[in-house]
Amino acid sequence: VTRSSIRLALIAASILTVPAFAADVTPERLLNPDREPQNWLMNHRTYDGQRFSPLARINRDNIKNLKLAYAVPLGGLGGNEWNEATPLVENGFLYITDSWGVLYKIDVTSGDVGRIVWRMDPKQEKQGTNRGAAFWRNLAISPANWPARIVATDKDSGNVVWQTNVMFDQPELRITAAPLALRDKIIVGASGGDNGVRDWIAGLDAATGAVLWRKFTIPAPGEPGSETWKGANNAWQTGGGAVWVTGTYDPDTNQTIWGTGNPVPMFDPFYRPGDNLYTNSAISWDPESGKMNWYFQYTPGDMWDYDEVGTHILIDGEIAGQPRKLITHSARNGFLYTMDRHNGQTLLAKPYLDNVNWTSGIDQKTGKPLDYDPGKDIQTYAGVGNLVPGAPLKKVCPSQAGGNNYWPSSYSPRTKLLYIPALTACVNVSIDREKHNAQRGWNGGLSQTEERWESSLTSMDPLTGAVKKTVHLRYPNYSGTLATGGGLVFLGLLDGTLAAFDENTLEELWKINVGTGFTAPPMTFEVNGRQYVAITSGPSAVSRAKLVNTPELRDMRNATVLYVFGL
Amino acid sequence: MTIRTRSIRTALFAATVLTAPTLAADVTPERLLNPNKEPQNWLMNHRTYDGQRFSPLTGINRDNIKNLKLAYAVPLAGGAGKEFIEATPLAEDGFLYITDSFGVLYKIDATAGDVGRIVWRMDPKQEKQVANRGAAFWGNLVVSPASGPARVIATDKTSGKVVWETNVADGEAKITVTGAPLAIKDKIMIGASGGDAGARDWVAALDAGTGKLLWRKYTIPAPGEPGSETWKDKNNAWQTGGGAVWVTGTYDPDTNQSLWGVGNPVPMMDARARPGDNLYTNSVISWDPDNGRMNWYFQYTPGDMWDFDEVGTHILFERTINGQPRKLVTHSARNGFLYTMERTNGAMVGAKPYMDVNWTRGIDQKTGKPLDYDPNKDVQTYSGIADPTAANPVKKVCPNRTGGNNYWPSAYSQKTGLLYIPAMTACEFVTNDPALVKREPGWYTRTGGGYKVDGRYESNLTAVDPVTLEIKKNIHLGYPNYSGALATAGGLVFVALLDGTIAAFDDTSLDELWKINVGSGFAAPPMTFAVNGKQYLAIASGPSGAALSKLVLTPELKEQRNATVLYVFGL
Repeated sequence: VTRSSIRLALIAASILTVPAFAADVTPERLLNPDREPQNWLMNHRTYDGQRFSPLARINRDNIKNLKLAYAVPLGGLGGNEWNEATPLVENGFLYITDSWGVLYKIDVTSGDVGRIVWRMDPKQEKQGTNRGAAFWRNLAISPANWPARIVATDKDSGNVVWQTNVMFDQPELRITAAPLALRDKIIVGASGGDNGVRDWIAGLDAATGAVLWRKFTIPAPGEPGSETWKGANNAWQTGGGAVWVTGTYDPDTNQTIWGTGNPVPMFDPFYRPGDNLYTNSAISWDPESGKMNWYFQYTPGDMWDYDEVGTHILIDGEIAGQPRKLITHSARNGFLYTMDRHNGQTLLAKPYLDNVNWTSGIDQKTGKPLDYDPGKDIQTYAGVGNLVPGAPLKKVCPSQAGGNNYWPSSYSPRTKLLYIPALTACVNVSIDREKHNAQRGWNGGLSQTEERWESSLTSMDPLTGAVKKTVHLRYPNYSGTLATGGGLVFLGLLDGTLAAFDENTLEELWKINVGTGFTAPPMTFEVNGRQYVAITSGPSAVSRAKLVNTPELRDMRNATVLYVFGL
Repeated sequence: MTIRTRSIRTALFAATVLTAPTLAADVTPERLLNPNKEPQNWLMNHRTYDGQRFSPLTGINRDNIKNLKLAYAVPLAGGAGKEFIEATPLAEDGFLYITDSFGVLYKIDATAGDVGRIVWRMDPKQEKQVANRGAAFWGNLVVSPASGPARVIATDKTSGKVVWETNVADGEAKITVTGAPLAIKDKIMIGASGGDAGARDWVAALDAGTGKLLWRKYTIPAPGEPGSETWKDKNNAWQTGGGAVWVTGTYDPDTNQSLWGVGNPVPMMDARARPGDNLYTNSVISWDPDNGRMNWYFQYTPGDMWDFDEVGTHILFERTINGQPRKLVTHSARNGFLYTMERTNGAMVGAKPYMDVNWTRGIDQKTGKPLDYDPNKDVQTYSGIADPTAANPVKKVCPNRTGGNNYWPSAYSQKTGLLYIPAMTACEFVTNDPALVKREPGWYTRTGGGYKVDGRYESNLTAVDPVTLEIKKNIHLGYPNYSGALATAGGLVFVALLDGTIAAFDDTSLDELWKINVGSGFAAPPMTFAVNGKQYLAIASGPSGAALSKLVLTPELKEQRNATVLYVFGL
């Protein structure tokens, strides 16, 4: 752990040289985002993870006039760059990271050009996924890798104030998710699980970077949950459970809710018999201490990579005449789960895809698959997609990539609907019992399909589980959705299309194509009274693999460009 | 060195006929001679043989330009860092063809109007990136340069398969081919570059059907050849004398001559290393495309010491002067002057500065030579202001070594009769340093000097009447133009700048009517085409290393990144 007194020295220097400080992003500002709807102060804009913006200047009536305002290329250092970051915006300055971990501050005050003010380059030797930064007072805090680090950069000067190495003797560990700033702490999740890492979540001192607590998502022998790792392989040591999408936070109950990833090796449950807690789970953490308040596991003993890192969106709603504080989660396994925020008690779980085949359904009380058998070391579930060593390929729906995945769903308080972007393809999977080491890789099997990977946009009532509307899209959505006060739902596709839909009818109202796919989410901001929609192009290699059966995109190239659209 | 693969071509044609439902139409010599019969297309590097870079399209015009917006974008390359584009796209019946800095040729389906899908890529497998200014159509072929080794490659337009590939390096590793080829009748004309690395450059013609080298003519004469008397040194400087040919020439079918500009002598800043006028550097040469015979030449800056390379286009236009119809050629020279001359023999009509110039007191309006040029001197002094000497090794020269105008093309509007010149405006301090005249290895540093600048590199857009040489209008732009100009019958002049701005100006007032910024500079020219009755503006972003070095005193662009993206705009 690198702690630094450099910060004080830098601040002293800054006071001398920088004429005007940007305003501190205080805990109060982060708790009251709707007082400054022009800004986007954290990864999901708000602690509730709704990815809804109240901005309404761009709306259903004028969306047809939306056009490129300006573009800002990022990266440019090497080949095959990509972007998965949601930009942050504060008072006309936009902050984003690229696949080299470089953090950019971009001046977007003029409205017709975006000039890069500074770049903080953490000098990664390789590219790695990076989903963006967090604001805390005068710092922009971002992940970096090789080695896994959290870096705090002075917003004004672009100088590094503190940098904490969080590798902790696991060289394959990565930090890919945007950090979450809570009061005086920075919460970060560890990933790299699919390379045989035991992942964790941690709280850092926001001012110094000191690690205050760190909790593994895979229990060690003797710890609660360790009884769900039954084999003799010490699989828990390499068991995954990555935490690679920023969690949500409920200030009223002071809990932060983060999804956890799949068990490793992903396709081979025989290497790791048991339910494999706390993989594929929602975990409620006390941000002060890292104490686990409660957890809920979606797919025990997973064999299809049904990683549940996707956002756990906080909503308020009325059920049976009672106002309830709820959580809703469009799971990678094809179901939408709505649960009580205080304890994770399932209220409903309904499929948002029409082709789910791995289970016959979800128990509406327990949230467990109807065919889950707690007495089994290896689940069979519906008996359709379950993997057995030596068996031929089995067709499973949804695919190992979802359904929904890290690309966020959004919830509109206007319509009280959740907008779920989901892959629709099924895959054929099988076990490879040798793939659980550094030489052969850690995925424990393989997945393939001859289908085109395509997607759907589905609007769903999270209080009833009813699908209100669904539209099919010809290309995969690896980007997510954004809902706005203008009655619009935005999404980006892997063919380079950015599109806007009517929030009720899901009619396509506007689109443009920039020729390279999106794996980063759209967001919106306002400056000088004008609203903009921003999204960064540049598809990851994992997403590009989904174009294997899409011949018209065979020669599509990568470019990491921040596109900003306005009226 | 020539690889002939005629039989492959025949085989590919047979295969294509069986599998492809419709062949794209052949680009015949007749089509290339009659571009205004298909104004929706852009069939060669400068659109037309006259090099005017004027489009008759009027769908986008002064009245509606304010509604111009991004229609779609098509990223190119993406396999490495620091990629760049200098190519003008070609457009034929809804398909675009463009090359990138790896020599990759792309066919892009632009028929939809709201997306550009890449149909195929022809990858010549270059190890390194090299400037590549685009392709030429001939028959069913798209003919493009590639480097490392220097090659010319003909790709089947329909299938994307290579039909012939000719290695033109002739054993000279420093040679690159960067200018777009020029298809004339049954031949492909190309120029060689790599001069600044110490190559001896040339112009050549290949058989368009087979790629066979038909003739090759050096721009630097060997001892005993005409012009060799202008290389007076004892160092065999002619062997490494440069004279690169790196911008596509023009062609006058009536007189069957093709006019190509020639680059600077090497080492560029040390005239004492190569005393004499150094023919045929910094010249325009009229070639007979059938046999490579030189019809005539004119040298702009004899015994150059400022890199006043004159590869920029030699634009052909007609005008009635004193009741006489005249066939003329005009050239916005890198040395800061606009020259207009007779097309048949290069006789001077006039030469006037289009910007502030200090290296000479002026140009003799009859001979076209600098007034202070002394044919008896081995090393010219010109005005005595800008020539670095042993006593005064640092001198300020205007324009700077990059121009003025340069490879980025001026455009001539048939609507206004004006030439639109995009020019750099900075002066530079040049230093002569014989220590920088390096022999092997390290020709690349064979500059013979250095340079520095104490102000921002910026630019002008200047409208000049090429007959009277009168400046009609001039506007200053805050960033360098490394891209060129495009004039249209819609009354517009388009330019693009190194800060990522594309802008459109009124062709008369030069008022800025529209602009957009894409955040990465332009080193490739804008062009326009139409498909399904709708006009589009296309330009590829991605500044070269040479271009980016011009931003040294432009702090607000210090962190600007590169992205090679073809942007297509429509109403």
